[in-house]
Amino acid sequence: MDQYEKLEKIGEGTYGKVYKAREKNTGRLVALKKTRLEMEEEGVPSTALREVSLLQMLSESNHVVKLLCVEHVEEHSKPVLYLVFEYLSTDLKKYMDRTGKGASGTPVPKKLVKSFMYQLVKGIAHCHKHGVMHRDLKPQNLLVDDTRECLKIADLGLGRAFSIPIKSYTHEIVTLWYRAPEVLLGATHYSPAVDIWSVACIFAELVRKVALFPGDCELQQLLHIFKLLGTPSEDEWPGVTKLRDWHEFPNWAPQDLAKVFPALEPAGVDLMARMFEYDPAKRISAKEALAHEYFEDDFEDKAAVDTLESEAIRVREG
Amino acid sequence: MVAADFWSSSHARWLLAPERLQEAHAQDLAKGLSREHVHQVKAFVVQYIEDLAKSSQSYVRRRVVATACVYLRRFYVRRCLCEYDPRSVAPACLYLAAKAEEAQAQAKALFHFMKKLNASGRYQQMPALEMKDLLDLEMAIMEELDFNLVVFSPYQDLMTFLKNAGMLDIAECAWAVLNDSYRTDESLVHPPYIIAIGCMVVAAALTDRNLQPWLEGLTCDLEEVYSVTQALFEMYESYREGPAPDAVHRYMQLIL
Repeated sequence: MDQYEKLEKIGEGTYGKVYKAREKNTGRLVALKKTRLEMEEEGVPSTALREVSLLQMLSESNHVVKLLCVEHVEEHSKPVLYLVFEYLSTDLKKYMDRTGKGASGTPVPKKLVKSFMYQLVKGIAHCHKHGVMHRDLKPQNLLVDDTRECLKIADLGLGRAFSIPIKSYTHEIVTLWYRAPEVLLGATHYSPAVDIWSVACIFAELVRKVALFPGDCELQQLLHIFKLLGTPSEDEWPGVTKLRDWHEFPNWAPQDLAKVFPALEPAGVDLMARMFEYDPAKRISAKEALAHEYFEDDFEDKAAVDTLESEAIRVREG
Repeated sequence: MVAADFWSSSHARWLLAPERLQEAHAQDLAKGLSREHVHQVKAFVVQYIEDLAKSSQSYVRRRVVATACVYLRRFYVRRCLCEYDPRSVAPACLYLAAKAEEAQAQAKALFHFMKKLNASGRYQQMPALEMKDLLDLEMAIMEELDFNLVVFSPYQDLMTFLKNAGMLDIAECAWAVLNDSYRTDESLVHPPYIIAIGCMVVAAALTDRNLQPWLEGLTCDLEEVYSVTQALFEMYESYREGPAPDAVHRYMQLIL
């Protein structure tokens, strides 16, 4: 690890601290994610192992944060694993806050909302194509490079196939704000559609600069959702009343999203509504979303985003 | 590992030209082993992985075994038997594969089953392994594999093809051939679907079935399929009984 100079701690990941560092001989900035190894017991944590193997598969997408290498070292005679990532200057949460928090701040320019959304959906489509669900998408997990305004998905593949972490490494409660209703209602099996719900929440937040459903417990989270989108019925979501945590809720009627998001063009409202489809089976997929009318016009960055994509992916996916 | 896209995977990048395998094990050969000896040692520890998995059925599924065998084969593309004792590397591969495949993976349980298996019969002379060795080897394997742990297995393909060819009745035989294929290096050279078809050809021959019409309808490279088939038949010729433990331990003594 002598080749890196640690600059500052920038966060706490699911299983360890994250540092900003400089690669000495190239001057390149990197993010180091430290993983303690429980050598006396079970060796490399399977979560770390999983993140490494998933990222190796997904990192070729330009919209997934790049894992540069993995370093295995001894610190205080304990083995430590460092995942070395490309460094991005900020995340989407900080990016939005910077231009004034909330509705009173300057809105994110419409073109940029669309570009960020396009990059996010593209990244998620890539993950889903490889059979990987993210399961914890939120603005803090989307890294942004200021200068190029490019967005990348980070913190991938944590947790096991059918569980969502309730508490993170630091015992700080994982936010519920972006969680899909089927998860909140206790569905035991869920699909990539859970990520699409999170994408929709992030879309709304990009447009309004305020979190759309800021619940602080599961029940309140559901109430926030139902008040805006209407209480779901068996008709529009078959099986909803059979879910483990379903009980009778007040019967709210859905609000008109076009009125809630007056600044958003009609195609954007339509895409958001399809992403907020209650029935996970009917919710739009990432691949379908990419072909949606909202992304049809040749917005400035679309071509740029597409050319940034790695050669291998462009050739394969035409 | 749940993953859909083989060609963009690290597995695809790991496929080697057959000539590359001719460069492997230089130090072992210099110390007096023949290529045949090396093959036998590796086939022996692959069988050890299988038997270890079998002895602890609740602990591992077939898919984990297949992944472990691929790790073992990849590990020895650059490393030599005299540097890392394959009789210890094998259980470490199984342990790592169980984690990567999200199966239950407790080192303690693995040690329990190893102790039982080594207590009698074929594996009595296996060298003792400590917890620390296992975890050190786990790390060594991960590094040697460059942390490429996603392995695609041919089992799913095999079942799909058998169904498609209307030959599900030979599934048991084809499945067994596929299990045996891990005693060869074929998984390092060919993509999983080619291996699956190769195993079908062997199973059809063993059960006297005609697969030719189905094969001719495929768009894949039949030359490649036949090279897998040939390697499998050669394997069956040379290890009818499986490699002899005594011989394997003798070879290892020679080089360690």
